[in-house]
Amino acid sequence: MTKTWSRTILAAGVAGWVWGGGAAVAETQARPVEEPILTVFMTAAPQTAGQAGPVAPEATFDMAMLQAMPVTSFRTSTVWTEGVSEFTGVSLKDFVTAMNISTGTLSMYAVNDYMAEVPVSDAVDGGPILAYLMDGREMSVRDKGPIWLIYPYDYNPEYQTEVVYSRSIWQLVKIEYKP
Amino acid sequence: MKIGSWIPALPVRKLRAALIGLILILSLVGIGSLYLDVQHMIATRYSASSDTGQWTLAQTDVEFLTFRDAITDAEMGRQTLNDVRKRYDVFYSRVMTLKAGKIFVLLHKDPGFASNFQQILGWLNAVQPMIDGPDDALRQGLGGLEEGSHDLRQNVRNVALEGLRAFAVISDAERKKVADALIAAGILTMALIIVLLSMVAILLGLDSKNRRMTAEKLETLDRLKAIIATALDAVIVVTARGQIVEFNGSAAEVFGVARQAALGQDMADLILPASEQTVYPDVKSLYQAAEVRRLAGQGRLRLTAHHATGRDFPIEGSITRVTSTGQDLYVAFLRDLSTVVASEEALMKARDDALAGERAKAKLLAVMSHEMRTPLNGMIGMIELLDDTQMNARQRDYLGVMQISGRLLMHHVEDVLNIAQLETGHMPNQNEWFDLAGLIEEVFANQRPAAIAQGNTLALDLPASGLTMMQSDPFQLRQVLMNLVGNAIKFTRNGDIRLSFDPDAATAGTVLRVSDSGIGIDPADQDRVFEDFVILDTTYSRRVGGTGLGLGITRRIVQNMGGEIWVDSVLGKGSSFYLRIPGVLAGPQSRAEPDLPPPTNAPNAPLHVLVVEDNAINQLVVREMLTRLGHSIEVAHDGAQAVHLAAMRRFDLILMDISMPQMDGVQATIAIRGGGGLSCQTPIIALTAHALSDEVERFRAAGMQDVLIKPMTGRALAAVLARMGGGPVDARLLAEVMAGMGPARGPRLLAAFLQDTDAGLSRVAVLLDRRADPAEIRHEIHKLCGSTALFGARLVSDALRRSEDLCQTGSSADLDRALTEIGKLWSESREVIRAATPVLHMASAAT
Repeated sequence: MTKTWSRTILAAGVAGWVWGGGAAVAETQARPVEEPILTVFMTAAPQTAGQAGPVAPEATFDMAMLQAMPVTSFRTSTVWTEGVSEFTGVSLKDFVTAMNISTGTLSMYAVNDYMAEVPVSDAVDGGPILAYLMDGREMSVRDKGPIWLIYPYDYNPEYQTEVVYSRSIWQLVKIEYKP
Repeated sequence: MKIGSWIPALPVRKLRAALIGLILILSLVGIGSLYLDVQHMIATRYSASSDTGQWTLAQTDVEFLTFRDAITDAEMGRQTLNDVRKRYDVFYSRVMTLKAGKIFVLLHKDPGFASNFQQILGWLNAVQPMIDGPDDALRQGLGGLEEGSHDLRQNVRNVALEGLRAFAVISDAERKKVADALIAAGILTMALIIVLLSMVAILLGLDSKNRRMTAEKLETLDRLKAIIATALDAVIVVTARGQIVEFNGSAAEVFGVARQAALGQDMADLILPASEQTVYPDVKSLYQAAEVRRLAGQGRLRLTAHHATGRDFPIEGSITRVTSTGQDLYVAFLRDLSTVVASEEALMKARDDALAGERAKAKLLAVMSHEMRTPLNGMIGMIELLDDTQMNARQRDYLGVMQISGRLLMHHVEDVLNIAQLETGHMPNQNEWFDLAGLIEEVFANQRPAAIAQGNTLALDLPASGLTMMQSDPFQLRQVLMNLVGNAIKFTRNGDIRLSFDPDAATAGTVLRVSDSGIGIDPADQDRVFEDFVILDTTYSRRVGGTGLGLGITRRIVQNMGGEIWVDSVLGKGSSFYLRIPGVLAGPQSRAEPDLPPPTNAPNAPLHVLVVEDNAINQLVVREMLTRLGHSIEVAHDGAQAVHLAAMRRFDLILMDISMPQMDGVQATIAIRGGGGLSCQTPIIALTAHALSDEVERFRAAGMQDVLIKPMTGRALAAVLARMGGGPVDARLLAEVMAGMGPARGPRLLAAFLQDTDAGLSRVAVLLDRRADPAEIRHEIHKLCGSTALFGARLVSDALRRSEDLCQTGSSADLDRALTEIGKLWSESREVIRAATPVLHMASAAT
């Protein structure tokens, strides 16, 4: 399953970034040059002892790799910031397309161990982005960086709900995919 | 239905629809606004801000403690310094969220929150250089950080608590808003439900009413169908286009077409022959024709209908228009008139037959009255003439009886005519003075021989007052008494018959009683005896004879006279017949001047009379009578000859028989009057047996002055002659004047009168020419008026008197015309006067 997924990604021929993980071929070709900022697991990390040992991350991303992906940006206000800001990043749709998934759930983890479950169905055109720029600047951890899942709240009242707010995870560092 | 019950019937449906529509619209608006309200609430009020705020506050505390743990762990070498930095960053980020997030703006207005928050922010900024500095410096400063964070612990706690408290208040407010919105929504929903429930109730009510009405309609329809099906009249229901939609059993029977075959057919084609279809091309025209007849009160429409077997037959019917659901239907009720028309025709024929019989009877009566009267006329005339001859006493008695019997026979003939006249109300009533006692004696004298034959005595009881004169119709009364006395004699043997009369004060009339001591009349029959052809005892009647008409005629005559008749009788003891007739009894002194002058041989100006009469005997009678009175006569045998003679000569009087062959008397009169001959102004007297009042009118219209009813008596003739005066000059008056003046003075004065009148008329003409004072003309005319009247020139005198009035009121042209007329009359009168007074010739000759 995992292998198939990886191969499919490669076969898709996404240029400019290297997929890391269990596949030997991938390992030799694409690795983060800078310090990795996001790790993606294709299966859930073990939660309890007695299970198989820690699973290696399927893919890791540094800032350059993310910025190499298709860029989406929009302006919106948020309940956590002052005024309207422009957010730039990878749209979740592009991200899951690259991962070749269309169903299931993404468990997103923050630096402070906050976790939000984001259904893959949220990944739509005009939907959320994995923002890495706010008003054209990279965000530090103090500014809720380096990655912040931002929904276009101002464009769609449906995004002004508690569930969406709870999914708007900042200081994102890890994603686990659950089919 | 309650909603519509107070509104007039027609708009109810529209109003109800409008009401339901309004309710629906209101409901939809309610639902819509409710939806929008909830939508709005979800979109704005309930946007998840307070929950995420509370999480942030809680996390502030947690992340602060995690940061402190990281410091402690680093001090003890369990964690790296980078971990401290990471936890600092996370906490810092959290605090910055509290600072910038718009959901926390309200919290900063709380002074407690704000001071605690400022302390935290101040400390974070204060330690930031150390965190961002080199590892050595940070490691040495860990103790200070631990201490500072320890001091800050209460502030962080307070911020969290204050924030939570504030958010709780906000939440409460939010909840209240939500609750209010929900309550409003609930109320609206309840209202909507109530509205919907009431609509359901209304619909249920409507439904049940509809069901009930439908049931009633079905029932009515069934009943109606039963009525139509069993109706005796043919009932046909037709659409406006003539299509038959109902055709009942009677219709099938009347028109010979089965119901199923008739349905859907065109009514006109099915039951009307072509001739009727041209008159009534469609059912609408038929309906209108029936309506017109009905409104005009002419009854039902009659038509010729066509039977399936091909024969045509009469029907009558009425047509009603019914408008239901905007469509016109015509309901025709038709009835076969074949038998009705047949019986009508039979009745009509019977009536025509009866009328023909009546006409034949009338003709017979007319012929009879003429044919029988003519010989009677001659007989009676001759008896009258015989009366003037030398006879001994016995002969004179016989002649008297003959005369009375002749008259009686004439009355009998007239009886038959009278019946017809009485039936039609044509019997003219005479009204003259006569001696009732004398009349009764006359009747007795006539009936005495019959009475003696039966051994009866006749007696008259005079009234106590002794008054015997009365004013009535003696001829009719004589006939009545003749009948009653005759009857009494017939039904009495060796008995007494008494006649009495008394005034009847109550009715200003006279009651007469004819009593006998005969066989009497059964009470049951007493009312019937006055009917026609009633013979009570057929055995007896054979013995006494009679037609049974007597009392019927009597009753009619009495009624015609304005009186009444009744009977009082005891079977076996006798009968009393009572008459009550108008007219009071009077003494001889109160008797008015008689209408007829007494027969006289007094000097009367001899008249030149034309007698027009086709019957030789009648000619003889009239000639004898006139000659005896001193008049000269000429005779014409028919109308044409009369017209010829009247044109050639000047007569003082024309006696004109009406009933003549070829030209009758009326035609001859018209010819004479219009002919302009010498006698065109001469008075004409009709001689006729037809004395019906409308006939008399016809005679007058033709130009006749008077009527003499045959048989003519000398007295009646004399009366007419006197009335006519015999021409423009009253010969009798002239003779009297001349006699009064004596043979010496008379002729002289007469000559002077003639000259004076000539001169006077000339003077008037001259005055008129000069247009003199009307008063002067009038004075002159007045003088002439007096002298002409004195010498009997009555026509001139009358004309002068009229022109006298004209002087005052008329135009001069009128007066002129009147004087021309007077001139003509005078020259005529002058000749008459000269002719009437042969003495005058001598006198004037002597002068």
